[in-house]
Amino acid sequence: MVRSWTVVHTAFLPGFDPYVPYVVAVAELVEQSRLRFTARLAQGATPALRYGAAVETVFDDSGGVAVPLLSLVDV
Amino acid sequence: MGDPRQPAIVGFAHSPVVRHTDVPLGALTIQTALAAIEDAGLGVKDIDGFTTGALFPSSGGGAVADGEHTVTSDWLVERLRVQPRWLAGFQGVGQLPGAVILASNAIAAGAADYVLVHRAMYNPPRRYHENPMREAAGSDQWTAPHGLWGPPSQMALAYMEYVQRYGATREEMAAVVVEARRNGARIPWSHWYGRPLDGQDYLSSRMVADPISVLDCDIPVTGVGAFVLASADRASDRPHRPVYVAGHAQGRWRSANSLDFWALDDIYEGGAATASALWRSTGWGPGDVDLPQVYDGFSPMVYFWLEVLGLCPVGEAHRLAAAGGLSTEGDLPALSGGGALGNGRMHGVPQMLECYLQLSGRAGERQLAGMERALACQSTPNFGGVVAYSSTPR
Repeated sequence: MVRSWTVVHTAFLPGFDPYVPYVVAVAELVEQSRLRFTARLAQGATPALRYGAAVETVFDDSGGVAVPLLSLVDV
Repeated sequence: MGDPRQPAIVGFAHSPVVRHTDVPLGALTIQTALAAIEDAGLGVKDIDGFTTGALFPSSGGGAVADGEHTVTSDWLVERLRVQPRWLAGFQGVGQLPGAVILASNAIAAGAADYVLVHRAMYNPPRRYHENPMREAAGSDQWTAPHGLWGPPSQMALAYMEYVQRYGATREEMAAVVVEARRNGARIPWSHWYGRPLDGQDYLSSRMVADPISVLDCDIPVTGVGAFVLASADRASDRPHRPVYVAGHAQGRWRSANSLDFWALDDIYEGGAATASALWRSTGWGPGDVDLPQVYDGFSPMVYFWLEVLGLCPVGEAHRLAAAGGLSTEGDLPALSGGGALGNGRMHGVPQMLECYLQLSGRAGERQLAGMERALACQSTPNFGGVVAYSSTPR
């Protein structure tokens, strides 16, 4: 579930400028509280993004490397 | 007198705080160090201890040159042509409290009688957190491939968690930033001298990593602050009223989370450990503090410090700020020295200096009445440090 997020407007890394603004979200595992990881949110900034919202992992293969993204379950 | 080896601040100097300077940082540091020594009524030969926390804050730059991008105490003593009895460098974050704690322990142990503590800050010509990396290894692999890089977005994750849990608003945070800038605008060496801010300026400021806007971040600057500390038996002979080190604490919290990922629970659990160490060290409680100079390198840190120190209930600092509770005229003048938001990115110097100026009676037209016990905080409560100051010796 979503514990936090930020909408990044200034990326300090090369390669991310085409994506701004993008959302980096923090997910906490339902199976283990406090075990958290961060990933971009597939849907970007959307009103459906809320504290505690359910997310699942999907993969973005578009850059030739599989990058995990978080995706809102109920949109 | 109680403890003759209790450390005390006996003098200070501060360079102008500017974005970039033509004067090399090393030269600025020498000038400021000499001015601090003179302010204490001493000569260079009297100083027998030197320390700083020299950690360079910007990532992604080129090689760091001592005397140019940072200034260590080793560099400084070589140029001052002195051979002190004692010299040390603090390695971690919470650089200024870390250095003051080293100095205090050296004085208490008799390793030095007069210690110069300085902090030299450098603003690189390129973007502060720019990073050219093409591949991410080690702990970076968990953050960089997702576009999570640099303190603004790290702080945004902690702040958004606070916003979501406690219902904090951007309008409430405007009160924090406006108060810091109002006070910083009254400090002649501040980058923001004569330039206060209104709430609308804050609300319309550019987002960096929402909810962190550019005005939630302190502005990168070049500048130097320096202090002379002495043992209490020597401090009483100095021209200015001494301000005594009454205790201190450092945040050394270990979490399972990466250091690049700031979770609100880590900040509060680590902060609680820092706060209880501080109260053990001082014998004080939250109600004993007149002047809590909380750290504000990012505006949400003001809330975090106030709450972990027990100066207001957890989740309530945003309401306190919005109600004017942090005003210099109020009960909790937490931003009276302008902090980092009101001076520029001086990494804890504004907090320490405000404690010294108010407790020694040297704040001039900004002087507040009845200031006897103060705290100077730096960095986050779980990683950083805090030093307690008192106008009276133990």
